Amino acid sequence: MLWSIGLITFTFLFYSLPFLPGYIEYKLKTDALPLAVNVDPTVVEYLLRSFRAFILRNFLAKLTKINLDSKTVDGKFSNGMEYQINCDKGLLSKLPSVKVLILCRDVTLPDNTVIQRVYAQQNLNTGKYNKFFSLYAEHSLYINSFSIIQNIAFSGNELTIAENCQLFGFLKAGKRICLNKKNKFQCIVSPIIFFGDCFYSLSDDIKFPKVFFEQVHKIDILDDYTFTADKIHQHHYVFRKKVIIPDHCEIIGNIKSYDDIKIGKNVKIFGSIISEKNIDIDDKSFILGPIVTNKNIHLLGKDIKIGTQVFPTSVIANFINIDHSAVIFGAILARYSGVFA
Amino acid sequence: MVSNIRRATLLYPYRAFHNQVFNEKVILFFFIPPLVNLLFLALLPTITKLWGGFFTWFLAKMGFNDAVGYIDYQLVTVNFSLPYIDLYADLPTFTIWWSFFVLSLVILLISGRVPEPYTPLKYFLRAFVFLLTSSLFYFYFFSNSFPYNIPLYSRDGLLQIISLCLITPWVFGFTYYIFSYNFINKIVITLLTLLFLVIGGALQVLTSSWLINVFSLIVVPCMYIFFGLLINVFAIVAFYAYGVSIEKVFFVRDEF
Repeated sequence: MLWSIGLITFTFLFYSLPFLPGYIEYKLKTDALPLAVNVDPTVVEYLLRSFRAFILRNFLAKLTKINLDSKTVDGKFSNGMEYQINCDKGLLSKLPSVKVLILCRDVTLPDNTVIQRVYAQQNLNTGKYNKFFSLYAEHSLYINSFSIIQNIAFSGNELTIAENCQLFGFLKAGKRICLNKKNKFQCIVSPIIFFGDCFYSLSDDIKFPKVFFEQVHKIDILDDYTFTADKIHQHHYVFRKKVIIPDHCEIIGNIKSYDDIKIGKNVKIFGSIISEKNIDIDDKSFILGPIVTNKNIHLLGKDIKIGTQVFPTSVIANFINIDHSAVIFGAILARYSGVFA
Repeated sequence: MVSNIRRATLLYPYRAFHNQVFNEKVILFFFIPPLVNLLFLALLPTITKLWGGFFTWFLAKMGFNDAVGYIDYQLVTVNFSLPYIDLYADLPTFTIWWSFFVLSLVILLISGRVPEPYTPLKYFLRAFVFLLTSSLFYFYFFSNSFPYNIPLYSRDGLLQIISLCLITPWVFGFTYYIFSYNFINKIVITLLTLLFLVIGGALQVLTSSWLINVFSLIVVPCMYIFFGLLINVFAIVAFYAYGVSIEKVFFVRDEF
């Protein structure tokens, strides 16, 4: 009997072997996640500058000349890549089948088009259902709905994104970025980033405390902790477990937690928040410093403000979910995915 | 604290924009399947001898002496003696029939309670119940006309294993060798799959035969469908999946 049980057990274990990597993948889901953004803003900045410098170095004279003539010129780069310089104003009726499109006037691209790189000297509006590898507009850039940006979208002035776009890679604008709902993003850098309400009032009603950070002491708390509501707390905190910051709290200092952080309504934190797990932020809360987590950030409430125009900051997490309108000054990096639902 | 913030390098696009790389010299890799086939055929007499020896030794440990027979086969020019397990399998008794009937009902009830994330398991259990029920139906009405017994079952099982061992290199040739994976990886994955089939096939046939001996012929359809060819094909697919994911061979799509 022992041998029979041994046979069945051994057969079962032996037949489990080829399925073991699959089981590990099923449990850990290492490959199920989208690729993390591997991005250094300085590198992107360098690439953007290089692209612009390359275009201007090679085409500035041509651009001026062609612009004056209002005509279209086709050509090839030294590596055989085809380009077109298009100086027709208005709506391009049909996109050329080139890899690089250089536009010297305000242009609206047609719908349902696919093109690799577009450089616009003026404003650029993309059509719906378009796919681009990279977009570079010296002035305003409007990405229409259902578009996919694979790598970079840059606007020297304002970047507006309509609904249902998938924005892989890097978005940058010189002045401000406005995202509408149902967008997915990964990395956004701009002095002001609006989610939803692009006409959000930027009048600062936040009174900054007159306390130097050097005067604030550090407190280490081992258990779950809930702050006293409606009170000002002046400490740097390190929490080993969960922490709840109730409504109308004001904290002057940094918060670090090894577990979840829940932030209530109308909370003001003049400092940074760092967590190993999730961070939930509710209505009308304000956070001055950077927010960094190893898991997810849920901006659940309305009118959340992170950073200020004077002190831009960054929000970094694996997944970032934004439910309502929010304003972020600085940068957002969703290592895997950010969703503005 | 923020250990998984990766060190920044270039900006990589989303993986949906990756393409698998075809090997330009793909035709060169098609010498692998015939070579592996030849190697397997050369080793086949030894393999069948090892199978026979393993069956004899293990069955003796389980209390079945002289329960292994041999039948001579010729495949191309290779002669080999294929072992089969000469155990007796009875028709299901009243108790066994009703036990399996209750078991099928229990599995059906369990399948209804499987949580939604495990829906494939639910279908698997229901398919198993369907097969078991058809087996119960058959043995209730036509039990005497059942054509299978353990010697035939074990012999067919081993022949299936041999066929799979000959087909697998060709399947890999058309689905795995065509991509630019490491040459050594291709060879190793193919040989590992064959080794698994040779060892696993013997274990599978022996286990199934013992289960049929204990639980009567009523379990033969379930063994044949669920713990025979199907599980071996799953294993081949699992090895293939491991082979194609062990190294990343892709490039960023130039065109969308």
